[in-house]
Amino acid sequence: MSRPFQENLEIAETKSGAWIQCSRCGHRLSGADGDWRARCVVKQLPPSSMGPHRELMEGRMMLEEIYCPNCGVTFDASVVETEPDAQEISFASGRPARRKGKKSTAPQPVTLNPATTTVIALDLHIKACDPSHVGHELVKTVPGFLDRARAAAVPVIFIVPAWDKGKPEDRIAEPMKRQSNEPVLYPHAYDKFASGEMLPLLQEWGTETIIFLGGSANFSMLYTGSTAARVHGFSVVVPLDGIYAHSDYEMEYALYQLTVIPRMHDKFSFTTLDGISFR
Amino acid sequence: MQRRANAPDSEAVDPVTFEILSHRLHRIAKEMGSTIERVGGTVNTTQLHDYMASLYRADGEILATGESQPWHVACGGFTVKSIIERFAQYDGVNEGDAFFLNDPYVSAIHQSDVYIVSPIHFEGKLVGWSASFVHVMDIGALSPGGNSPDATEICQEGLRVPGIKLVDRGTLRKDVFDTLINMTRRPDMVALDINCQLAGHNVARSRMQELYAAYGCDLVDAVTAQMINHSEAGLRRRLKEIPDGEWHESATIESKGQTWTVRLRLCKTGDQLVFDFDGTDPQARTGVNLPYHATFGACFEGVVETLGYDLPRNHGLFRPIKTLVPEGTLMNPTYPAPVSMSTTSGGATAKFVVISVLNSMLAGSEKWRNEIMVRLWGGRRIRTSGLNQYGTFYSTSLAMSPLSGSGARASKDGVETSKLDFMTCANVEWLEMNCPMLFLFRRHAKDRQGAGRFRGGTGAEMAFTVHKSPNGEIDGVAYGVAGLTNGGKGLFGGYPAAPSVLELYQGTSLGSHIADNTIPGTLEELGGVRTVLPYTNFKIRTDDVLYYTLGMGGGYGSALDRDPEAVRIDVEKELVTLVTAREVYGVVLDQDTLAVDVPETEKVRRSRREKHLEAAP
Repeated sequence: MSRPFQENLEIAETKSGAWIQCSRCGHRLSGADGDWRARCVVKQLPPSSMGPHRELMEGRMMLEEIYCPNCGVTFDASVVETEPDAQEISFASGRPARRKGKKSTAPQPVTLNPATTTVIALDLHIKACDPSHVGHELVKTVPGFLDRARAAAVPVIFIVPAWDKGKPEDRIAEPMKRQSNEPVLYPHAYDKFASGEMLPLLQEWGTETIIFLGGSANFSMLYTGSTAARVHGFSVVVPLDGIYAHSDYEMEYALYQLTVIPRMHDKFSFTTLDGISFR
Repeated sequence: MQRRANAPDSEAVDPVTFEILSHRLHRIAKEMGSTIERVGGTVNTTQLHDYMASLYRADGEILATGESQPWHVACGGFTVKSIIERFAQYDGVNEGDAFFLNDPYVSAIHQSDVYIVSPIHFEGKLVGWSASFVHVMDIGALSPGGNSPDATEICQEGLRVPGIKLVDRGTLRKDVFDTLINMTRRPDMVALDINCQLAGHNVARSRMQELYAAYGCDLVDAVTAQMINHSEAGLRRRLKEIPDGEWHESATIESKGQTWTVRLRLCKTGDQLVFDFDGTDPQARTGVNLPYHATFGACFEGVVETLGYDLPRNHGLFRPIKTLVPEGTLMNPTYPAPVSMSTTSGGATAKFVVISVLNSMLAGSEKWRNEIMVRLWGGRRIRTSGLNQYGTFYSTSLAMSPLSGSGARASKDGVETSKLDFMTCANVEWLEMNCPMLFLFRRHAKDRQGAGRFRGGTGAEMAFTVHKSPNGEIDGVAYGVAGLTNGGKGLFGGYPAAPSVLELYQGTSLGSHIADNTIPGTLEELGGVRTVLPYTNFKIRTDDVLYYTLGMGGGYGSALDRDPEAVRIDVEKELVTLVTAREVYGVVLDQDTLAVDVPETEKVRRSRREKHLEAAP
């Protein structure tokens, strides 16, 4: 017995369970709750495949078609944005990596549980208020996000370089509006877990996901983020407009690296500050 | 005391009386609308049908909608309820009153849509309300006509009235009337708009009073309660026939490098629908935001169009719908977010995602899947203003959106140049007579529909220039749904349409064509520098040409499954070219006779399908 699922697809009820299958050839794709698309042939074609008058889409968008892997019938067709290397999207301090890893770094919206999320703000201290500082742009964009995080009761940890501790420069940038209950740590390593102070805090707060802000992407964020995912099993969220690096190369290198860490690339999500919401 | 519409239906009226009265209520709402159209004098009321006329019960619940867009009817209900609430604390609601409201932070969709609501009394008792809106010709916003791409907050978008008594016990408050119309650029036109609304309300009041006199309050009240229950029960019954599930859709507007994405999840359980807009982008500082009540109205409209199109349109169709919209987002902005372009951008997008998820829901039902019609998204819009050929200021919408092509259906093509949403189109002769514009062409646009087993309807393309303008230029406003994906989406292998665009060609050779008395058939003959317009104000000068393609519908099913004979007819009608017939549909036609080359067509299509499998895992 079968019932329609969509054009050319049906749900077949069998003794072994319910299956989504091609209604033309009966080829089984997945269980009724499964990802049937994952078992299909997917092809990306130029916009002109849809006909003329699509030239404005060239280079920015592609037609993506999904076919039955057995009989070739078309299940779906949609216009998708091309991979980031063809895009002109730019962010305050970063943009998706041009070099493809195992995962795209194109920003996608994420919804996080505030009860299990912590924000780690790297090197957003008073030095960032200097207009010549590479992360100066974040002094304007990050505070609004921190307000949203605090409103959702997400804890924030500030990290300042060990060599600035005790100096006038060790103050957190005023626009960040650091709260008295938000710790400031001064680990003497690019991997900010190294001093041993941060992990107990994260564990005490029941943290499962860390949002990294600040920089540099290719030093503190890369080293700390790698340890967070690989050693401690945290999920890591990287808002591309919430981190900085000294050059495009350094930014792209760092982002690329996070997508190729063996067995760990799925631990990283790439988004924007506005793309993060708390449920 | 009025019977509650959700009271048990134990005192059912006999079916004949029920039918007579429910049809009569529908006719009264329709007559109210046709009065607006006939008394009105502006292009919006007389040609475009850009108005609403509906009837409500005494508590503000929707009673009869005539032929109005459902989302405006929903907003009319919010308007009635807000007036009841607001005037309870001032000088009350009296027989013969009429109230003016256009505040999007109360119940309007944008300020240009001016709502008027009037109580209907019978023998001294409040028995119902009539509500109308007209999209007035100007509202004193930053850009003439209302839609203001440069506005960053609502205070720049014209006069905003949260509710004021315009007619007091049958007497027009001239001081209020003059104040309102003189805050616009066209007081004479706006006066016409308001006056035709008041005429509509007077007709509705008279007809309703005649109805009450003929049948008595108790009977009419019982019928209206039963009408609402009947619609609710009908919709719930249909919902129960469809499998439960969850469906997602998103759509992104884009202009000047900025993007605004609307995300929607539809959850159906039993006979209840929940539309959840969680994940939608934060509100914009451009007027694409859509107020909450309009977002709700878009969901209501989607349900009416897909599942309730033949049920009496009243409050009963509200009840199975729940809408969740996070505050501070595009679909539920907070003050002072601008909204002047809302109806044709955020609003069009809301309707697009709503009907798209409803289509996905219907696809799982053997009984309802044939009701699917791919949703047209919206496309671009344009207004012009300036000095006309008579030396006076004018402002008008080009109002061509009804010439969009509708989306394909599950068993038929979309409809050519027919947006199918109650609005109608201005004629070229009227525009040329009243505005300093000369149209070079307005015609079906070839090859822009979404291809599919059933293709999207063909929309129009047109081009015009400035003509006999005293100062050689007019102002333009480019709005609508901006972005390259505004061709929407196809369904189940159908393709989206080509993007709807507004292109300004500056410095063309049009002047020499006119001097030589020749008509350019294509834009290529004219030359000039092309600019694709985002949301913007711009100028059109002598020898500039504005080219405009409307939105068109997406296709349904794979183009390779389309009947070759249907493709041949499309080519014969000059809606599709020979090249597209072959390259997109895989149909080979004889160049001279247009006969289908069956063996060659089968060969091309077989080869394409084999190519689909080349990358099989």
